[in-house]
Amino acid sequence: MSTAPDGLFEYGGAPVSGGRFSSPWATHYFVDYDNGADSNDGRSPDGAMKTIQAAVTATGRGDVIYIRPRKYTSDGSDVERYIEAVTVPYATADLSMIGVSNTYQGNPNYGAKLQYTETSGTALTVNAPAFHIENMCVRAEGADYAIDFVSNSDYSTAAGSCGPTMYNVVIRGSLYGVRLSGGYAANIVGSRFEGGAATDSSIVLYCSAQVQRRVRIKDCHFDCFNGAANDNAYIRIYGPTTDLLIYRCTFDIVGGDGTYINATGTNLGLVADCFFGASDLSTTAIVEGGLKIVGAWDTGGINTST
Amino acid sequence: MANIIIPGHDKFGKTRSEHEENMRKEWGSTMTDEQLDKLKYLERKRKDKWGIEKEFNTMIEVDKVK
Repeated sequence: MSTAPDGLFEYGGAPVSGGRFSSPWATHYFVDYDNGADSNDGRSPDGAMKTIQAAVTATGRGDVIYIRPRKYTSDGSDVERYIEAVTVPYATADLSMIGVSNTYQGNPNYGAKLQYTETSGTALTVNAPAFHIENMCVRAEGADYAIDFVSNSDYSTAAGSCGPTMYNVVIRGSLYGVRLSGGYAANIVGSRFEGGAATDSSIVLYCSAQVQRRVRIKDCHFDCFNGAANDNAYIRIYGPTTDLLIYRCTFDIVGGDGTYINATGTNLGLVADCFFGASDLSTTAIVEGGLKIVGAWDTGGINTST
Repeated sequence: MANIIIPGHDKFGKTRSEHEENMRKEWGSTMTDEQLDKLKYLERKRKDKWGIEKEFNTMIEVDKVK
């Protein structure tokens, strides 16, 4: 029954509960920049909307948005990007945003890309509980956050609001890749964070007086797309948190402050079975802040569990 | 090109696997073939156990199917 040591209990075979069920009133929307129009109702591929924000504005709780990749660039090496700053309002809870890929692999690097090009601000601001994003590439090079999951003081939801889920998302650049404020049971799974010299941290967990509970970061890769390390730790945690799990992740060269994970405040959680790009992982490379570390591996192949 | 069209809100299908099969005819994919197989298995199990005919599963759930 258990899949320990990830600290969670899962049943073998097919999970029979815990899915995100589409409500009987849920509607599916389609976004296609190169062929759509915001005057469309977005309810079919032929009547797709042009911008992601228009679709988000049209949606209600529990709805699903499919986003088509844009046309190829002139040299065919990439696809064009949706250039927008998107905000999901608080009332639109349980919204799913799914990128479609040109390949049969759900490849976000060759699929729907959202980019925000301003020098400040955020590409995707999520004020709603239980938001889900999948198969997307979100870039905000030069801006503040690629994705900002807001669920704290402005919306007073941290004391019970369901957190977001992310799957197969590529986050490129920006000062912070993902900021997560409050909310319960956020899941960041199977995603890649491409940081670098202009990136402070790839994931930052901001808590306040509210305890952030049951955040899970699993099977993620943290690297440096421009060959230089992040300015600071890849994952920064400003407690209090409890039941935090960072499991089976890989990290590139150590951050500019000499750390990979830096937890301050009061925290309770586990960092398990992670690989770090240091030749000899120092005991100071993870500022534990109350977290327990097991199975920390470095490029020397030495288990330096602490 | 023949799609599975269902009247009402679910024009693209009642379940994510129906969405995916329609999506592949129109735009591309949102999952691998292996994930699609697992998704169909998951939907069938839930339908048998709970009678659920309309749902939207994420790949986080699908990847739990071993």
